[in-house]
Amino acid sequence: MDDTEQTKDGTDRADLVSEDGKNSKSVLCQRCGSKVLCPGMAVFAEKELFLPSMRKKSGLSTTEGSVDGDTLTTHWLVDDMYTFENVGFTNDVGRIKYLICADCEIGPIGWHCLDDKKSYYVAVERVNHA
Amino acid sequence: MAEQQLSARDKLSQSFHGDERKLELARRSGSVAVRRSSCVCYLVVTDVDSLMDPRFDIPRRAAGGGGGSANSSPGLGAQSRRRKMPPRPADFKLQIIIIGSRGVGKTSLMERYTDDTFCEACKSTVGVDFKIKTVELRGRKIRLQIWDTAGQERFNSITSAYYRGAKGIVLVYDITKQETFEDLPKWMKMIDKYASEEAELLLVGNKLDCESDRIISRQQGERFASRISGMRFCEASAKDNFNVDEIFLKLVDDILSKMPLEVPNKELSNSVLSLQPEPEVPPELPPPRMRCC
Repeated sequence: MDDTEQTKDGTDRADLVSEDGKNSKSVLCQRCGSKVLCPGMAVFAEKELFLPSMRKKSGLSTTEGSVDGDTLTTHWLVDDMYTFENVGFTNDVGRIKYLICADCEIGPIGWHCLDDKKSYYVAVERVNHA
Repeated sequence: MAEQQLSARDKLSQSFHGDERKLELARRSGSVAVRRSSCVCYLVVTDVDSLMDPRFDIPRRAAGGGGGSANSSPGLGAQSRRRKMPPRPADFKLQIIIIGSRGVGKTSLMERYTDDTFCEACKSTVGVDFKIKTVELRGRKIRLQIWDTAGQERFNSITSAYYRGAKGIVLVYDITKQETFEDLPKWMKMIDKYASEEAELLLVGNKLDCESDRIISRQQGERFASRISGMRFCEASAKDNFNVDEIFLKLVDDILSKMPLEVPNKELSNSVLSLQPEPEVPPELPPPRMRCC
């Protein structure tokens, strides 16, 4: 791990990623604290994914010309939806299902493409770690 | 008996178990993903998820005598398991569907918070398809895959795939709306037609917070449930969070009680132990559907 690399919230990546590339801490909802993943259950993965904004109400509409959101590159990756402690899946947006908090439904916190049934991404920047 | 059900993979992990030093070295070197588990029992009870690697679908019994909390007596059930795939996170997986007429509060039953001050992008424009939720009961971790059928309440519009794989069905009515109660027999017809006979049924009279507008008495609900074999009943208020968590625990408890393995303290069960027939495999994600928000 590159100790100097910082995530958005200023936490050392080495602080979040264990030696075997997994999440060393629990992954929690930023708003309600609902547990999304237990420690050691997900693999750190880098992939450029666009996630609509968590704040804008119309953020997921595909009919709009542009969607407010962020391209995020660091994620927790799991290969089975039952790895999650708690998570919600939205209805399909094209071939994408967005992941949301199962309890307070804030989101999108993650991304799943129906064409890759073994990849479920949770954006590191959109969750808390504890 | 227990040994017979151990897979080769488990035997491998058992032989690994006990050699802590080797394990620790392996873990440090990153050559093997290791998880210490306090789970005493693995039994995959649903095949709804075709995403699952079939190698994981191996019923296993080990070191019975559960009933404790998840972190109790790790020595008894602890298994250091060597694996190439990520660790299996849960002891059970169950698919649950929530059905009932329009406006009875199905969706709010699956939310812990009903704080409407936030109306997020996902919720308002796209809608929630299903949720994975974890409950712990009798020292076991159970993953629930919960399908809310809101938005497709017309009896015939919910595809049979939803019913087919369900191990638990929550049938909801509104205690302040006569017609939602009168609809119950129609919903039961759908259950009889499509759902596994083994599916646990729970009737929920919702909106207990609107007691002053109550039209359906508790006794009416109880009476309806008592006429259907194995159906349990409760009243709930999603608004006050009253009984909402209990609903799922109740259902899961009943499902676990039917599992073909000895479970101590199953005081809530009077059902016959039986192996459930393998249901037809529904798609892991039912067909897309329209929903209002």
